[in-house]
Amino acid sequence: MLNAQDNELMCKVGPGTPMGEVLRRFWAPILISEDLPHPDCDPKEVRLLGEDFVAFRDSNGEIGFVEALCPHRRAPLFYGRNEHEGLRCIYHGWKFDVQGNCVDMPSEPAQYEFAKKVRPIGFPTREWGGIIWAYIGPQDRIPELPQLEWCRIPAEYRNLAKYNQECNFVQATEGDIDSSHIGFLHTRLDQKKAPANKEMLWRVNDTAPRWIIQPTDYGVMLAAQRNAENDTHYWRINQWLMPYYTMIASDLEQKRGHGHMWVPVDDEHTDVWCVIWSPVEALTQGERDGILGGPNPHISSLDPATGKLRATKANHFLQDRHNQRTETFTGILGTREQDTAVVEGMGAIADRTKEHLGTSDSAIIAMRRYLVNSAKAFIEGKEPQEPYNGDLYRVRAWSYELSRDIDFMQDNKVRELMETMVG
Amino acid sequence: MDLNLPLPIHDFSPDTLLSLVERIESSSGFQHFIFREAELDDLWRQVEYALVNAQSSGPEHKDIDRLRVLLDCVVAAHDLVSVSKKEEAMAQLQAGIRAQA
Repeated sequence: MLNAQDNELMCKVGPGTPMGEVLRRFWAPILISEDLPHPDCDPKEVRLLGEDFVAFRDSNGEIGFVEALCPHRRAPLFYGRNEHEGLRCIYHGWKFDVQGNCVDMPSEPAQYEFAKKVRPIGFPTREWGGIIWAYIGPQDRIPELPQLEWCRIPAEYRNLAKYNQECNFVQATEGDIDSSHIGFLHTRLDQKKAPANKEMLWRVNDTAPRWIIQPTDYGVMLAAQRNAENDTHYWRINQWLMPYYTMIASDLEQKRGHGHMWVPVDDEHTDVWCVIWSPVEALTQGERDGILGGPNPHISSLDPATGKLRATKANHFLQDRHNQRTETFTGILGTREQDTAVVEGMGAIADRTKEHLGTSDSAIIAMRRYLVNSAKAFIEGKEPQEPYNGDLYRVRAWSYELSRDIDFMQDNKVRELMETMVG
Repeated sequence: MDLNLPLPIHDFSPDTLLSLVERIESSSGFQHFIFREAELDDLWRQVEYALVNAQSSGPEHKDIDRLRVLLDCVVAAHDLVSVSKKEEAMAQLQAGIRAQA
């Protein structure tokens, strides 16, 4: 539970709000590189932290990220002509380069040099890891890019997909660190009768794991310990990294990673990025196809034209009640659709004064506490430190079978598993 | 006393509150306080439920004032634990114990 003041402090992300200002200290993933596929391609509208922008790729392939409205008469730049190294407003022809400088103003007499008097409307960008990043915080505090493993691998090792979800970023994120829901929301009815592998068997046999919830320099490490064999424990380590990254425990062989970025569009919308990657090899076409299709897709109803799911609250996420009785716990197809159904159903911003948290929700309490403390520290004049040390993000989520004798926090194998596998 | 697990909360009796005071007193570090917050979450909802029940029995119900004071103490203790202010949180729970006397 959270009191109403802390809930608002944690969830409000607009300009001038404490959490909004904390979030503005970080690079934000705004688009997949292919969203701006070639020089002078169509621009894209982007909404981030309650503000509107336009992204474009200029004639040299450079990325521009500028305020959505032309500073002249406030016409939308999205309709602009992307031509000859800049975006030109269709209203009076003012043109802006990728830094947001007004470089041409054909509607004004040249001798007035009016273009030089218009303040730049652009923001820094980077293109890295198949992602276009933008920074809209104070220009004297430009941070480091987070050295996430999935950004430091070849493109063919990684799959990126994103969609827009109609709720606040915190409750969207909470779904990923709420480990106990996995045994319900995402299960098939036959799963408990016939576990597919030994990991599944351990999870079925020990449904009440012991937790280590460890604050770190980057966020919170969430370790769940289950009984495995007589002399071993099965460990699953998830990571939550400031301000909105999650990493889900990989397979025992550490060959696949799975993570999300929960980027706040505004108080009531979140861009959900789903990342599946391998640190050691290219993903197969079958794996890629299985992310958006097949019998058990990660996302079953993504509409590329809108960036939203076709399964929505209005159509009850296409829930199939017969399937729910006979095959799956929910009758909803797609892991993301299942999660979205429950987190959007809480309302745009969950009222956390009314919830009933149990012992299995300790990880959620920990994440909230970290976020609320960051916002309160900011109010007291303390800047967040995470944005300025990109190497903090070189951690992994993992699972492993370890001897029951180990001291988890001191064990060398644990330390090895915690580190990124990519140099 | 295992401080790395939340204690199951079965009621809001003075004995239960006293055991929570002792657990808060022995706690240190982030994880301990996360679990103390989880315990106080549990206590909060039980007191709130009792208060709602009492109120639904009529505005003159004898327990309403006592439960309202107790709820205020529990909520305050919860919020204080969440920022690791254990002395202040313990004082709130002790006030809650006195309110039940």
